[in-house]
Amino acid sequence: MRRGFWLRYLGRRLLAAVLALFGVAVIVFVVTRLLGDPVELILGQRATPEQAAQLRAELGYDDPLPQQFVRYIGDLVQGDLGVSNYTQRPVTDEIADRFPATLELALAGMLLGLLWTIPLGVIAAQRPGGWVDRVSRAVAEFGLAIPNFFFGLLLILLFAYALGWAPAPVGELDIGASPPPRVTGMVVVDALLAGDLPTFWSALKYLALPAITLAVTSCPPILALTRTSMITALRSDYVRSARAFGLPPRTVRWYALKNSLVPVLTMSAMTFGFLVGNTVLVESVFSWPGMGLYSVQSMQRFDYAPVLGVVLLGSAIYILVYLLADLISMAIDPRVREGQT
Amino acid sequence: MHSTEQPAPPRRWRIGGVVAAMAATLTLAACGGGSDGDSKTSTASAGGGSTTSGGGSGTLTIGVSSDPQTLDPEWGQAHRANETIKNLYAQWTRYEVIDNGDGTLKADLTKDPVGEAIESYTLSDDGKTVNIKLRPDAKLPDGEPITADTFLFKVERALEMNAGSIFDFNILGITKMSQVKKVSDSEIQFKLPNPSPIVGPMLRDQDAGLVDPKLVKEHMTDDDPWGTEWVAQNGAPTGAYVIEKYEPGRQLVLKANPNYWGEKPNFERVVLQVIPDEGQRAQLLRQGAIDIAADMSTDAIARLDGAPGVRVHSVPAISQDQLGLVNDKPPFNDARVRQAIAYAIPYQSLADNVLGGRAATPKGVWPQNSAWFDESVEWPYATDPEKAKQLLAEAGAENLEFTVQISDADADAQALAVPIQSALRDIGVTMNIEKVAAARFSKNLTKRSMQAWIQSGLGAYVDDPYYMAFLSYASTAVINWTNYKNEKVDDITEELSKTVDRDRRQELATELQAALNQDVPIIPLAEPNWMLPTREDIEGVLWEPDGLLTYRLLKRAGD
Repeated sequence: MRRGFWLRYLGRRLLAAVLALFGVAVIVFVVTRLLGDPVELILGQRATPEQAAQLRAELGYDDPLPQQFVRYIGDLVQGDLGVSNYTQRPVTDEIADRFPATLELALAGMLLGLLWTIPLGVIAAQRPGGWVDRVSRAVAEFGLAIPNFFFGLLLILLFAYALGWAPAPVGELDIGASPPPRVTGMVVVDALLAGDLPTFWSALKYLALPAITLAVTSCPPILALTRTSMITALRSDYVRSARAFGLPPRTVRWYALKNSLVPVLTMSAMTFGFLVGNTVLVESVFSWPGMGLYSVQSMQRFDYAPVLGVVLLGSAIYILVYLLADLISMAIDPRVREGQT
Repeated sequence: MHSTEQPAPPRRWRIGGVVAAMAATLTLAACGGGSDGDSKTSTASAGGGSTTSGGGSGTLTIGVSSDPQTLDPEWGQAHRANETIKNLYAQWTRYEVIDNGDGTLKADLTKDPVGEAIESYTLSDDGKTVNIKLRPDAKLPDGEPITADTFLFKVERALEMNAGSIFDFNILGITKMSQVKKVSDSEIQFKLPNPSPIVGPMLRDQDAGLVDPKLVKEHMTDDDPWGTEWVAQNGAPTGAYVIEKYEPGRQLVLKANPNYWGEKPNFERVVLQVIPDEGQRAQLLRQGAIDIAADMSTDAIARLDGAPGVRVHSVPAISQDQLGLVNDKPPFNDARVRQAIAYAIPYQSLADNVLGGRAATPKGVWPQNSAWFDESVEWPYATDPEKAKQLLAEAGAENLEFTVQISDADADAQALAVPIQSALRDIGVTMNIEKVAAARFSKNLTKRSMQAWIQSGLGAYVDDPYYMAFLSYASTAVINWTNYKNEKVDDITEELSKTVDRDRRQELATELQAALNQDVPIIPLAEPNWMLPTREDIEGVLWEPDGLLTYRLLKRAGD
């Protein structure tokens, strides 16, 4: 029966996910087609109207919209995101080139973010209004208030240009350096897999500043939530009982932490989804070769296929991360499970 | 109960400990980076040329705003792609070079281009047959000779694909392969319907560059009969540089073609590093991490001026910043209204204040640095608000209001629009400024759907009266974005298309300029210099009318 429950639940969630993605595809498809087509950009200013008409027909942009949509969905189901009309490259290749860089950055930012926010939140909750609480709140408010690209610029000016501790922001590796053999596409991981320690170290140095930027500017909500939910937990009946029974403070804290983790987990999942989709400006400032610049340029060029590909991928990640967070919450907390029958 | 619950926290924290250690490494990497090698110096040394892969004289690093759109010469349109293509594909001809004596070079526009991948081209007496002699020593990168078939393949591929590059051949009157004949392995012949004065300049265009037929043929498939998809990503170079590696979104690394027959490139490697943010490109140039900051706005270049270690190369050019007024709809269908606007523009202030003094005020619709510019043609439009008001009154166009569109990718146009707006306000004209997405802007230009537009850096790739009239001012011209129509201009264009005699062409060019200055279908706002910020030790910067850099000639002082 337990297994049946999980399968039913998963099935329902996956079905909802597919429907949501379909909805996203419809909306983006309609919006991009309303903007106009990229034929003039492909042919350039010296093209004749006849040439434009011919190319428009070749690319199928003069077919009725529903027909174009059916064709697109048909390809999509087969895993084909189409070809960029601007670069003539398959969108799946272009995304595969760029997505790992964004993922690497988002993962590193998330990791650093969790590491400063959760412990600080827990400590701050021990003594609300104490100095740790006040300092951490100030830091969190700073991180929330400052635009991420601006904070990135400050870090660059200070650590790369003034102090010279970090490399200049030219991307993932030194100019002209060869990346390690591609396995995951994430340079830090690939360098480690290849046992190439100099490249690993160099890549870490390039990753550090943008990751810190994201960690500081995107994760403060996790700190706030950890603190609040820890305070609530510490004031709850079961903690009071545990204290009354004379359990060691460490154990009591652990009970409280475990119980306050569920909302923090959901918030972290949301933050991660946000990170993957919102690195655009940070990527631009650090010349990070991820999805950010790619998606912006594709939109500027009215290049349908990449825009759709990027939006679908972003939505899929959001949905997947939420699903994972929900599954973990259910595993941790039976009450959540009971709500889903 | 204690014993079952107690172990849990330490285990969790152990995992946390590993994570914390990793994070500490990350943070350390940022702050303690000085310990090994110091990548700041190693990026700088990429500019210093210590990391070469093969026997040349080092590496040139150029910071660019984006990847080239394509590596296929038939489809290149945007500036970045055009420049890459120019350096990867051997052109048929080239302009001769004049040394300005200050580390910069410029194309000699007063002479016809000379052979590059070809030895020479000659026109028959009736001007309708072009005989092209090929160089015996020209080779493909794999060492095989470049023959007549290489040239024929190029033309056939362009014509068959109906790609952007057919413009180069169509403007000469070549529309079918039957007009292109192989006479022998070392000679080909064009049959033109009319004599053409611009054979040399058109064959110099970067998208007329030769592709490597063997490479292309290996990648032609049923779905993709001309190998477009493969060439777009991998290129099929024949020029001074070939591709060492291409990582889209990151870098494109070129290396000197070992079998290049012409003058050897000075740099063994050229790294085009994608630095999307203009401010970062400027900063990296100041730091010496890159040798050249490309794709910069005038404003950003002005801020680099005088920075230690940086040199802004500045060469008078033939491009213009223009205000286009759509001629066939009110209010601008009345020439007096256009003239009134031309009298209201604060030319000197635009050149000095907006363009930092690195621009000339216009002396005609025709660019003053063109070899065909005739300064005897009257250009009366000095800034004169009273005259402007008087013309508006004559035309009955008081309280004029119109909307000018600007591309959001055109920073200079935006900067120019604001002072123009206020100058027009002074003569009672309301100019609304509408900023639109670049792709939308192109579309509106093509559809002629605007009232007016401002664009910066417009210039013909070929300095020739026929080319410019055919492209911009004839009533059927493809980039006649103002729908300008003057029968006299159409007649002059027609005659220019088949007149080969240089003196007669100059007379026609002068007549054309007189008509344009009278009609002002577009208003030239300023003629900006061509500018390139580099490290101070970079020399051999060549300006050509296309504004595309030639990497082969660049060198480091002292090398």
